[in-house]
Amino acid sequence: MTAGAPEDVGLRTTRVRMTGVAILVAFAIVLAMGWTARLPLQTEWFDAYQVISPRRVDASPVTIVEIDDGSLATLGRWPWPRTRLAQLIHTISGAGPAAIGVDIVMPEPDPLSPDTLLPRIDADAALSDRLGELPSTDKELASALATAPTVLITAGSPGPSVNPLRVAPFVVRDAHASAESAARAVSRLIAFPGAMASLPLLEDAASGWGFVSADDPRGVLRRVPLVANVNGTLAPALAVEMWRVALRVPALRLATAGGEVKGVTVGNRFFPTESDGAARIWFSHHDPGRFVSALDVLEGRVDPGRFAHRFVLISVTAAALGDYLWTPVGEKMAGSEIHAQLLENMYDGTLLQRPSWAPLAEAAGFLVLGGLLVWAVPRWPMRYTSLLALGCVVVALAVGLGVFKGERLLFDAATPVAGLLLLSGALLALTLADATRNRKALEQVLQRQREEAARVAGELQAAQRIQREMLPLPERLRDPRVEIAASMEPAQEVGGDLYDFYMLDDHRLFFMLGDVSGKGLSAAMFMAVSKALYRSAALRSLDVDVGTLMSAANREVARDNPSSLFVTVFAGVLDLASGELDYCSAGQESPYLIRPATRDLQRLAGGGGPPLCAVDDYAYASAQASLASGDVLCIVSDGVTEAQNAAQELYGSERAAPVLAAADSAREAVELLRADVRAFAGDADPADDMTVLALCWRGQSVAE
Amino acid sequence: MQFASRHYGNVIVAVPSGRIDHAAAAPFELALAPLLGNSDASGLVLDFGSVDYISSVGLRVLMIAAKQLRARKARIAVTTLQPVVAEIFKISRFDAVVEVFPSLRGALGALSPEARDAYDAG
Repeated sequence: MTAGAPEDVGLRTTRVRMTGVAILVAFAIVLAMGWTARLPLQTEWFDAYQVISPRRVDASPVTIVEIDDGSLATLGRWPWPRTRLAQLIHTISGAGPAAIGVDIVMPEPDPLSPDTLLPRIDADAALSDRLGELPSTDKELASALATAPTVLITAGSPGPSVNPLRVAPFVVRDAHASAESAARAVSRLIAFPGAMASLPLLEDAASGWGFVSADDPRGVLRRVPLVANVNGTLAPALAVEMWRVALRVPALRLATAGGEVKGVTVGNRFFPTESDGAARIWFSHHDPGRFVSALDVLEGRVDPGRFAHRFVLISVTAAALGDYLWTPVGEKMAGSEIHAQLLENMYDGTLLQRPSWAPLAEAAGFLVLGGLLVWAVPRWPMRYTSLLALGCVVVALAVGLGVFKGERLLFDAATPVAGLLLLSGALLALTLADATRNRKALEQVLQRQREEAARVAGELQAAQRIQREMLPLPERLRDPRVEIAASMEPAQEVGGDLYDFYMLDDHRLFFMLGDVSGKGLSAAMFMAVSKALYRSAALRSLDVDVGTLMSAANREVARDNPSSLFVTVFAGVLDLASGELDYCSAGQESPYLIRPATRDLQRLAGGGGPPLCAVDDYAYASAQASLASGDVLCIVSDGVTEAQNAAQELYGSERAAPVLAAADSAREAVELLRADVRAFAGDADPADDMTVLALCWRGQSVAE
Repeated sequence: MQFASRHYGNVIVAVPSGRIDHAAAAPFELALAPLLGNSDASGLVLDFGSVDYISSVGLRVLMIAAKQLRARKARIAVTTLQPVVAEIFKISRFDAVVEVFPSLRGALGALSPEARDAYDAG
């Protein structure tokens, strides 16, 4: 196959498919390895699930007591004296909450406590005594904390802890009791160098100590560690610790398996986490119903039912003081509401899960859908493959959303879909490019074929014209002593057959039949040259025998033979007066001598030699025969003997004998033979020129 | 057309097979060409035992080979002609262009006793 020729469709399809498979496999590996986990695409897609399908809250187990702007406006600006916090806790505690989480860090003594104030003011003795009699506000808060199921927070900090970190004991339990796996899992926990805790006085009084941190990539909070590693200590999240306090269990369990954290167990509740101990919150929209104002609580306007057997969070939400974070549902929420959402998730068992095998599943899904595209794109029309690609995208997105809604499992449909779009784009582009290239190549081939056909046709026409015009017409020889008939049927590709006859003098007829080896213009030209040279040799030396003439012609023709062609020639000189024939064959099929008088057929096989040009300076010998009146001499080119039928059988020289034996004239000999060869060859294309020259000597009969 | 060749002493024996017709003439010529250029060889024997047919175009290839070899005093022979091919050689008188022998061993013996010894030795 030449360069630029059209390739067969299978090869093109294979190339497109190979490229497709390469993209497919490469992208599947990227997916399976989870390298796309940090791409905004995946994160955004998970957020989109929450926007499309946010969690509905029917009855929250959480109440947030918010120290809001209204509370501060009425009761004085922040920080409030801790006695007021104590009062708040007492009030809530009276309603019997499951746990109270105080989302306020108090690392310093209360600046408004009398014992703190006393050294700082220049008070008289009476005032000092009175202040001294008042209890420390911190002590008062501590006693409040001690009487209720309270949890204080410790906040993750970039520096080392100031106060000693107090935590509930954590027991690490590996599924396969592998210490190594447990250690590896623990090492994967989100780590903080230190944490800021409240005063030891307060910490000692509280029932639990919950860790608070915001792991917020790109400013949106999606995941919260249920357990963090604070400088080597396992610290439970505020929500976990509130659960522990609510369930009245002394210790927490960290479940690990295969070197990964699986979750946190609190009493009889298990909260699954991802491998680093973090949980994904399924957010609901902001719900004002979660909140009650601290002012309302302090002034007794809140139904105690809002606190009984509930998780209560005390938090500052005043605009200037509160911490607000962006959430996946597209709203900013107070940190306490995020804690509340986490508690709700833990309560409902609605934490979102991204299984550790999710990347493999995504890669597998991508391979299946992408494989379908790779299979179909080179094969189907483009409008179908576009629909198929669209279908694959819709299926992937629908499955992702369905699994989220039904099972709260996070599967990334967006990244594989991006891969599918990339893949189908590449496949379509390749297919198009191939189709274009192939069409161009086809056009080139067609153009070349047209040019070649035109060239060959031109050459053939020229060759055929040369050949035709070189041949003498039998009727031009008007001599009653001889009848000449000739026939030449050119093959599709012109060969180099020639025949010639002319009178050397009054009695002697020279005739020849030649066949140039080779085809096309060069053969035709060589035939023309040979004929001319032969004629000049014959006319120059009229008296010599045909063998000598042949030797002379051999020298002449061989002198200028750049294509190394050769030419077989039968030449003869017939004395029309006597019927004496002098002849020589140079590699030519022996002529048939038909004697109608006796129905006898002979072959003239004497003398001769190799074709002209085959052997330099060959001494050709002539032979003689005597013709009787009415004898027909028939010379054929090898287009006759080598005519083939469809079964590739050769006509040969024997088949002609009985046919020619029936001939009574030159014309009959030519026509009978031609008809028989045609009948033999059938529909097979003639491979070579088919030339027959016959002459009938009528000398004696004319003389009689 | 298939083509194989081997050396017996200083004579190259080429063994074409099949039909050396118009379509096969060019491959035949191209297969033969490198053997003709081998100036160490004193002769070339074409074992035509498996050649079913040779057309005039194929004969022309033989003629060219013969001229080329003869120019450097090397000999060319064909052997073991099948009847059809023998008939073609007889009609076209190519026995005057290349030497024709009935057997390979005979041809080798005629061209070079050394080659025949090599042939006998296997």
